[in-house]
Amino acid sequence: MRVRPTFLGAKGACFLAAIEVAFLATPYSNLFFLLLCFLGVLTLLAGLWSFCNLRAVAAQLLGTAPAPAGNEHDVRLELCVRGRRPRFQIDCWLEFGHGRYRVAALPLLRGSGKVAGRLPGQSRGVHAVRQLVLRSRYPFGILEWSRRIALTAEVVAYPPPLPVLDGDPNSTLAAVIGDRQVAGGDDMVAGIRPFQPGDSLRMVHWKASARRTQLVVRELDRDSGAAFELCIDRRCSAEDLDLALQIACALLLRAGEAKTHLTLTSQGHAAVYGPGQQPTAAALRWLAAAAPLPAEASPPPICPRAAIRLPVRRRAAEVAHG
Amino acid sequence: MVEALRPFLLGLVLLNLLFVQLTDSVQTTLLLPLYGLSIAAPWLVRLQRHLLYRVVWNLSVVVIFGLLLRHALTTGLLHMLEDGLLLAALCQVHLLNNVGTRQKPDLMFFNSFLIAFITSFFSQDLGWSLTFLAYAALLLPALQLYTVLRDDRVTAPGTIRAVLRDSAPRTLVALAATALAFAVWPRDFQRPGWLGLAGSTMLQVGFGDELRLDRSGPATLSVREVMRIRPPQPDRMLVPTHWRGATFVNFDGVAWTTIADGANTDGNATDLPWQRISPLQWHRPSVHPAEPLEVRLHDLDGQRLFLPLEAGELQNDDEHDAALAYAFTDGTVGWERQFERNYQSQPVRYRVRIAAADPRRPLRTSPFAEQRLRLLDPAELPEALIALAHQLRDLQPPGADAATVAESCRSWLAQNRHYALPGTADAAANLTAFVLNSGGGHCEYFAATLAALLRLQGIACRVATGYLATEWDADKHEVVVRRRDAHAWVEVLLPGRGWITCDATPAADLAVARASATDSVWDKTLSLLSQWWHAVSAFDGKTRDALLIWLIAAPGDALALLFAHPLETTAGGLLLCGVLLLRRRLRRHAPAAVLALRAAARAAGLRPAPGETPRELLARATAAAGLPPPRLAALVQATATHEAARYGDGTAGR
Repeated sequence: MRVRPTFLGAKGACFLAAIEVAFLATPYSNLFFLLLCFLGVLTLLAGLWSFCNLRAVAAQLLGTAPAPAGNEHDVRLELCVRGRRPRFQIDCWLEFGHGRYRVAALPLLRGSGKVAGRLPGQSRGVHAVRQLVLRSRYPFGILEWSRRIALTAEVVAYPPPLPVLDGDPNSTLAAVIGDRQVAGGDDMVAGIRPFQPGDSLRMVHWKASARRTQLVVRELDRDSGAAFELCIDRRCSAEDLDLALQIACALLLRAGEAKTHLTLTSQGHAAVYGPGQQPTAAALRWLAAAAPLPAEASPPPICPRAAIRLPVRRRAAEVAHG
Repeated sequence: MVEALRPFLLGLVLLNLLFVQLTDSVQTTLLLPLYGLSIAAPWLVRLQRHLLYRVVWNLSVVVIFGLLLRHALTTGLLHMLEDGLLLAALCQVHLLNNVGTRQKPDLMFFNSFLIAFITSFFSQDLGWSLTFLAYAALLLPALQLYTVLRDDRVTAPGTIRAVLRDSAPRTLVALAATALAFAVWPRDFQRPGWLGLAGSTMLQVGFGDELRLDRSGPATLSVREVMRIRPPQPDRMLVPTHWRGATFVNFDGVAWTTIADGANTDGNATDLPWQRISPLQWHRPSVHPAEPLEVRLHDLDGQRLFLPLEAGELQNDDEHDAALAYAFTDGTVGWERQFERNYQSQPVRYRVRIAAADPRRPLRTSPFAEQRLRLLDPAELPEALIALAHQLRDLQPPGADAATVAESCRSWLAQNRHYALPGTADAAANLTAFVLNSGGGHCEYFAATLAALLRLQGIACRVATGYLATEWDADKHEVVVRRRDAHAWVEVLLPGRGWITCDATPAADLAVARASATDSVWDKTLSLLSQWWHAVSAFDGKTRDALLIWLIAAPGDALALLFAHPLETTAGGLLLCGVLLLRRRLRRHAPAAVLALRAAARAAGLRPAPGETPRELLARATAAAGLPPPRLAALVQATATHEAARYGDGTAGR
């Protein structure tokens, strides 16, 4: 718990100091002293009551919805107060990165309650939330107590998806997609991948497992048969990568709307997202956290010929040259 | 700013205007427009969106500010207070009419307190204190609402109601804490201040060893009890009104003082001497002594035993023989204690018998002593006083005796000069102004003037100070004398008759009239409030010490009281236990399944969160590591029982 004077409190302190000086400069007067007592008592009680207003309040962050960079995030909190006495004027702040943001304000809290708040738009990235800060200056608004609650949560600001303009052949997205959209998959073996809990034993590729000394399973085209296959080569400039991620994000969301799969391949990353596969939120998180690699870094894994290769500039140039 | 705060701000501004009005420094006609503008503020504020209105309003405010400033600068300090208070009030009205999105109410809060603070210097009366109580009761909810409603948030009416409900106990606690801090905080009550304005400190009305006429400034009237006098029968008329503690003989134009120590011998005696009959008894030549008056002297500052002029016998009732009395030549009696440490807070008890002077042993004063009682240097007197003496002398019939002259001068003063407490607006600045009737005077002015007038006409007299005993406590059949009853009057020496009391102060008659006033509920309430207020304004170090002693001794006294009444204590304790048990039963009046669930949760070390269902509680208990299996099993059982009762017949979960 920390305390600091508010702006009103700072002005009040100057006022109190001026009155104190006047009191000491003039002969003792009972009425003067009484008024001074009143101000002093108000100051003390303001600190004490603000502390009590915040003391028994418990709070937890229920979740923050991923949002495109620069857009507001929806935040859900749950606050709970012990005892029957209501609490007033509690501000909820989230602290992460270099910033501290007020996400919700409760004028009145009785028992427990869920609060929906808004977090201002953030830059692209995965921001680890350091702590939830509860603040209150009730009742007199001259001293503000704050209470910090450590959190392990993150705010995902994924790249803003490039606008999808269906039917506009000149749009960047249309140029990138071209005719590379795969119309579903079949039961042909598309490749192998390490065994994961839940995989059927019938799909274990025993020979390959013997060669690799670890269990690997066959991956059918049905599983990896995404509507889109993306291959992002991160050996590019930050601007190029941003554009690539925006395109990828647009495709990811489009795939999500169409309830189809999307295969995302990049250096050190290969995953299928969509129904029955990894959730879209995980893809958004990867897109939010993706960073460019130096030119000497290894290339991305080999992708099918039909895969959409990003960054877009390289692909757009290829398209432009026929 | 939310509209909910506006009524509170309006109330604060109206109270500020009332504060200003209470000072009587500003004419009501000047305040009336401000009252009107404040009350109309909720409607006027809607016009703020019109540019023309804003221009006209702000220009008007600037013009009025300019006029007030010019008035203050041209008329000097005399109207500085009036203009300053008007400026502050106008500022509040202006802020009230502009508070909203562009103007926050912070400044209004500070300004309102400043007005209350400044006006406290000029209207230290009950009206101010009651207004301040109302102000505090409005200020705290306003601050709380402002804290909740800041940032222009739209708040539900339920929230505002909850804030107001919450503010009531907080206001009471704040006021109680203020009173406590005021009562117990150690401080120097005589502190002169850095600016050295000791001359303008409040005068404490009370008994003093000298009578100075050059003191000015407002006076505080303390209700602290000085003594209580119990007559033999419950009749107030048996108690003389004037109880003297000291007399003053020498006058230098500014102050009346006692005779020099060297002259205080038996040869200079001006009164019948007190003779010691026993260590505790004193007697003067007198006849027909009346039944004794029992006196308890509580205020021990004066070191005097206050006695009426007609006192014939004095008996010290101090149980421990701690008070030793000694008589002066003017008939007054002093006292001191041997064991002050032990008996410091105990009142001095003595009995007085009123008696007639013994005609066989008339008062004989030496010519030298009588000469001192007539001594007055006209060069040290104000010319106006000498002129008044000539004027009164011309009014006397030829050959009038001393008693006639004294009564004539007394009645003339009582009828032609009026009473005013020092420091009030009507009070005369000095003795000359009082004699010229430029202002009213207090008892010392009346006594000093009358004594000077009599001496200028060759009549032997002196000024006496003490207390006026007029307040009758009908419940205890006693006369109560307080510090505010301190008084000064004149004693005239009549040849062959001795001393008589001659009081020219009209307030003395008023005090008698006030003491016999009706005892209506309204009067009692006003009296109580007035006493409370005087207790605040006249609070001093001794009162604080007494209060602290009382507070420290209170628990012990309460215990002693309980042990002194064992039957009542036992009955009260049983009653209290019964109430607590009944309350507990009512609280525990919950279905058995609910109680069992609560007990199981308590045994498991869990506390149900508000709104948490038993099933959720059970899930939490299951997730918690280290919970002993028997307790978990008990909780499972209790949950199942509760659910069966709750959803089986629908009675358990109320």
